[in-house]
Amino acid sequence: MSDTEIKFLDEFFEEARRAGDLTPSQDLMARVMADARAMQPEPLVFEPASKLGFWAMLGQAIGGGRGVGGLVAAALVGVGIGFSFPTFFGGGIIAPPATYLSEFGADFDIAMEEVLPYDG
Amino acid sequence: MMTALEEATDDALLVLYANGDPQAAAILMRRLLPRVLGQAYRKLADQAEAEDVAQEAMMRLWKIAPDWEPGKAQVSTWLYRVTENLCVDRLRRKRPVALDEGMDPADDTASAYEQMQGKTRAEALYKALETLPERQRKAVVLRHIEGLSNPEISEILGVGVEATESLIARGKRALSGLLARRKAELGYHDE
Repeated sequence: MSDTEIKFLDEFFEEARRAGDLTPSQDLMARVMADARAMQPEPLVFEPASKLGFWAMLGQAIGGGRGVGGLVAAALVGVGIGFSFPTFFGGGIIAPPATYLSEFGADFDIAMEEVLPYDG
Repeated sequence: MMTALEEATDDALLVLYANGDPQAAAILMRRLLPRVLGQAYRKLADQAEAEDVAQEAMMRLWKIAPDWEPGKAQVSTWLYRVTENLCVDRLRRKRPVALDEGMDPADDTASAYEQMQGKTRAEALYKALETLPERQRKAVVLRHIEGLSNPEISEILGVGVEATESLIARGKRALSGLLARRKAELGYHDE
């Protein structure tokens, strides 16, 4: 197509565009914006670390809510076992056989000298 | 001076809107509403109905924002299709008898032609457009009247950009020939 033909055709397109164009009214723009506000999801909020309190920071350090939950559950299970089976570990750990010096006889010191070399 | 937000793509603005940005919607509206309104008005030839369709089309855009997948489709072509469908629905309700008789509600030129009465050149253009093969007519209307870019038209027509360019070029050549025959009648005088 020649430049003259293109220019000739453009005049038709221009008139067709102008004839069909509508500028959005203030009222329409207000309606569209009201819809947009009504349908907009809540903004995402990120809490800066410095604004967190001591316990919140400690909770985050050990893995957030799940970490704290795990610790609490483990502690409760421990307390439960302690109450339910108080003698379960008793024989070997809680009450080991006791030996007191008063139970040794007078020859104990002499016996020790035989065992340990005298360096005096 | 343009802000960074005003330079952002439609895709990016829609994601920002979905994330709660308070300015994204206003920029998208300023950018997209005039085109949607013009498209609806050319199709429906009724200002009040065109405004209702434009509001509804924008509402659907706000609604889809949280699920929008950037890069999958262009916002402008998605909106074009939504507006097109809303107009067709309205035309179906308005002209059930004519549609039963085989009139195509998606015809790009029928309603526009009605509102061009009295505007000689535009009227002649729409009359000439009606004689073009459908895809040529659609491509020319989208490019030179709706103002869409070739990639956007390609997405709407479902063809490559080169095929779109070819459709537009052939359509314009045919239009030029048809309108040249009516030059004298349309007020053109050979120099």
